Amino acid sequence: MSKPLTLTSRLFIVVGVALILSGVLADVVGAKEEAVKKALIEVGDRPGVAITVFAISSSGRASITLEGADRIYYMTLRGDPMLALRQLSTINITLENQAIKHDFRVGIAYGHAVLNTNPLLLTTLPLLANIIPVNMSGTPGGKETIEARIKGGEGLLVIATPSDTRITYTIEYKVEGYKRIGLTTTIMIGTALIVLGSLQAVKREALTR
Amino acid sequence: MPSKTSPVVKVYRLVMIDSSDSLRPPGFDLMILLIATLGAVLASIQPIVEAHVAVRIILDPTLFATAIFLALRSSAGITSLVQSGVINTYMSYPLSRLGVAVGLFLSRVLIPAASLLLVPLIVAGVILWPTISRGLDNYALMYVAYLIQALLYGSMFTVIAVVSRSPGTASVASIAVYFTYNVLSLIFSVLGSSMGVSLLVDIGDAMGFNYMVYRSLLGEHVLLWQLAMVPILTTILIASILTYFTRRFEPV
Repeated sequence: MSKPLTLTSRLFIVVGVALILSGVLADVVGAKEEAVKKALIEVGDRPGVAITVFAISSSGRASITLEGADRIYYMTLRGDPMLALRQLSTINITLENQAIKHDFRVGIAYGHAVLNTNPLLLTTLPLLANIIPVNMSGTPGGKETIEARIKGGEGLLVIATPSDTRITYTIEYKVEGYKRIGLTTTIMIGTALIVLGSLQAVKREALTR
Repeated sequence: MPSKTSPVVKVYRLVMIDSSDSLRPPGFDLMILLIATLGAVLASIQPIVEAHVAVRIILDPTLFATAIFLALRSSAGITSLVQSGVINTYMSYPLSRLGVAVGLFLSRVLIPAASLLLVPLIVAGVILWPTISRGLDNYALMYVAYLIQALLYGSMFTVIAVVSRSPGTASVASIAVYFTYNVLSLIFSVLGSSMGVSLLVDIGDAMGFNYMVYRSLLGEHVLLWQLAMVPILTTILIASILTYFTRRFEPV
């Protein structure tokens, strides 16, 4: 009659199988190191838009490229920029058509909102907070890129006034400081553990015969 | 002729024998496979860059599974030993009652809890090694914090088991006590916040030792008594189990 496996053999085998399974799953659905998101905002007759990137669990470099903007302001801040924007309702800046999405595989929340307010109020924003105006390098409505490094829990907020009735933007986000071992290595370690666990069981069986 | 084997060796033998029941396959193996795989997947879905954050993501759901396992296999398991009469065989072994109590606590609470919490961390630690290796000390510290929290639950369940001596009562009462403890912690925090009583919030937070250690690793201000509360409660409960088992426990 065969002897039951020892606790050590069982643990080796279970850890080996778990490593292979989770390694394969991590490869299929696991974290990514970069993401690119594009969107078009229909501004209509509203005076501005806000575009945000919020690093929920990762740290990385975010860049937002806008097309169709007349003036651009930006800032990095602690916390979710979209939540901070909602506080601006107290100074009569309200948010419309909010579109917020999450990409957990790069650890960010991103999106945009159309700002409904007095156009003059947007130009005074740099006086109200640590908002930096961008020196427009090209023609109004041309491509402009804003880049910032954000840590976990920080966000990048960009406010733009449109040159026309629509603004397109592209968010590129590169995760920094994250790495995991490759699938091949995981499978090799997992297989080695299963073999070790099985060998222990075979050796025990031979010794007890 | 009296046996010359040291009591420590005897406790070790008892632990080995009893572990073959408390950790018996396939239930334990299946559980450990699932929590290890899913814990590692949870930690690798998002690009986590801090070791202690990874531990929290992996061990929060695992601690729940560990508590349920301890309620069923440890608490109800000890009472089954009483009802089946196996405890009499254990106690006929030339070992003091204290030795038997220590052996049962190790095989029914400490070893299962330590294994269930450690295996998912090993699997995730291998996959996320380049990230985890930068904070191995925090990884280990968070593991110990979760283990102490699990030992608190296991000790509560063992007290229920040795007092009730009925498998049905022990398992149901253990799960009820676990539920009550966690909901009380939440109620203290919510009531304390809404009534503006910071002491209630502090007590509610301190009931989760793993949470307090996590907060201190994040650099948040944590009071010393908040860090000490769960370890002291656990020590008192373990001392109560050993005292009760040694002086008042009736194995029939």
